[in-house]
Amino acid sequence: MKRGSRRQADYGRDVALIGGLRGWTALAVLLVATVVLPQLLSVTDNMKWVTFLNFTLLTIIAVLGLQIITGMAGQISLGHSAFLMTGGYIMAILATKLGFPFWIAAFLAVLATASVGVLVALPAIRLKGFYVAVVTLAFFTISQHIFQNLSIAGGIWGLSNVPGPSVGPLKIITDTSWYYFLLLLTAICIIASASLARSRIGRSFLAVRDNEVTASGLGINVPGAKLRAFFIGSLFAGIAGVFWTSYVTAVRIDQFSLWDSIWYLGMIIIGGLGSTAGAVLGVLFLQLVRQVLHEITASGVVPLSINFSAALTFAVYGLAIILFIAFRPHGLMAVWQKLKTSYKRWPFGE
Amino acid sequence: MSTSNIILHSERLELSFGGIKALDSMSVEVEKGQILSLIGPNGAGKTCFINCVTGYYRPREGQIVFDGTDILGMRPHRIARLGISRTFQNPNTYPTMTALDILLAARYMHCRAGMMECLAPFGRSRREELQSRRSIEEVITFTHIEELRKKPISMMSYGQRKQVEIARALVMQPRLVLLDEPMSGLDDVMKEMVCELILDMHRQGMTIVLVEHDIQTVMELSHKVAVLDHGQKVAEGTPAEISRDARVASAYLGRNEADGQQAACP
Repeated sequence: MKRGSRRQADYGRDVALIGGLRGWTALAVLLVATVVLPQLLSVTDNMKWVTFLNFTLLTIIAVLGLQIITGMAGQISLGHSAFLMTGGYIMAILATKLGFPFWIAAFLAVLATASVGVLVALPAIRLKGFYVAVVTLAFFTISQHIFQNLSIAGGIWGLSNVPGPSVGPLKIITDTSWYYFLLLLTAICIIASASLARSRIGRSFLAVRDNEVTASGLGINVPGAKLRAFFIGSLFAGIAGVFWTSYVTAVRIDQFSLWDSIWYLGMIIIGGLGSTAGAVLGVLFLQLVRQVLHEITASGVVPLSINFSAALTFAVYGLAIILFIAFRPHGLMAVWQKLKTSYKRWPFGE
Repeated sequence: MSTSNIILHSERLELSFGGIKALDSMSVEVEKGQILSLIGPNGAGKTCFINCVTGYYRPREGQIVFDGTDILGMRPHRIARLGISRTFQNPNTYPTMTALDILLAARYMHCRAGMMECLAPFGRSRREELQSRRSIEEVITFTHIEELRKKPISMMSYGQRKQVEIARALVMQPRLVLLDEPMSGLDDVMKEMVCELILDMHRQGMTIVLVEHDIQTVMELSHKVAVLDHGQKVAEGTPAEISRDARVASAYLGRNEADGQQAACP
């Protein structure tokens, strides 16, 4: 039993989210880059790219939630954008119709979304695989109908004049201030998601995803784990939905579509199922692809109609998913790991 | 033998699938700290018995008492939390996890951090993670799987998976371990290693129920052997008694009672 003793000194480094000098350096560079980015963009162009970044950050928060439900716990959800819708609408109703202060409204809306997540999970946990997907699809349709026909939710026109947050004396109004606010929020969500992945609850999700029968043999209450996954996942979606609504100052039924759910799924597939960094990479990748395609058609360099460019976006998206599933089924995350390993082992090949 | 020494006790278990009786009036007692082996031909009900004890199957009739608690009809995770852990015969059970992942997951019921605590990179969740890691390293050393720590289970050989499977059962710090054919498909060196492991576990005070086909191993390891055939217990006793029992010979060892000749046997 003596063999391992020297190694047993400290596992803090193994458990840490960021390890070693290289990790901290990379983080510092990333931090400086993300902080300076909007300044650079505002010099060269209008605020278009900052807006793009803000939506990307909101999408990252949403997709982190889906990564927990689908990537970690293995429950395919087609209704993820409906969680954002729920959070957004409840936020808008509380803040504009019922006059709640911003932060209280936001807190309640996020909590309500997470509770709705548990409600959706209740029928879903009795089912497996594609049937769970169908339940979440039904949930999407139901919530769309509810918010469309609820008079307090403004019918098809939705609600506008949703207030923005203020942090102390600072009011978050401009795109750049939103960027820094969302950057902080996203960082917190990423840390939370990464911490979850190396905690008892996160591992119980992985065990349930891999094998429900053996997971229960580990003392894990399988339906309970699924409920927790839906709770935490829709909590993230709620945060994204609340601040999405607050950022665009309005909420409408077509703001969160079924297509968004599909995009989110594609993002975690391309990024790598189950990994926090994979979710972030997947969002960045697909958002960039989408935006670049949009830029190309909008610039008029290639003469394409608007309809054709929209179709092209979907076609590229579909193709990207097919290519990833065929050639890199573990997503961008695995590509990154491979690059890292070959860098470390250089000059000794793979 | 006082009754308090019995850690697991099953009484007249009846389990059937359609018209087939998988377990027929099956009664077994396991003494604390002992190694009980279940032997019998394929389909005799050995794994069925394990599935009943661990809550995967629910017997139609009978009683299973573990350390004073009636566990019949309890759900598997509740039974696991009482201190019963098992290994699976076919250890291809975690396609995406590494050995460390699965061992840490097996610490689930020894950690207490709540759902929201697990979202923080500090506090109880982190403390428990470090503590789990330490106790897992002990098991890793104990089961000789140091090299397998970060290897995905799907990339391991059959024997390595079996080792990890036993380690996983041990990480749960059970009072009773049910080993479902831990040696099937292993070469002699690995078999020897698993035998040593089982003896080590016994020395640490664990109670072990072993399902195994390798008669020689069973006879060497066990304190008590129960022989099953067609869901019934046909004999029970010390290894020496069992090897003399004529009914066992006909049911399992392939010996023909009439002429006393030994047929092809393992």
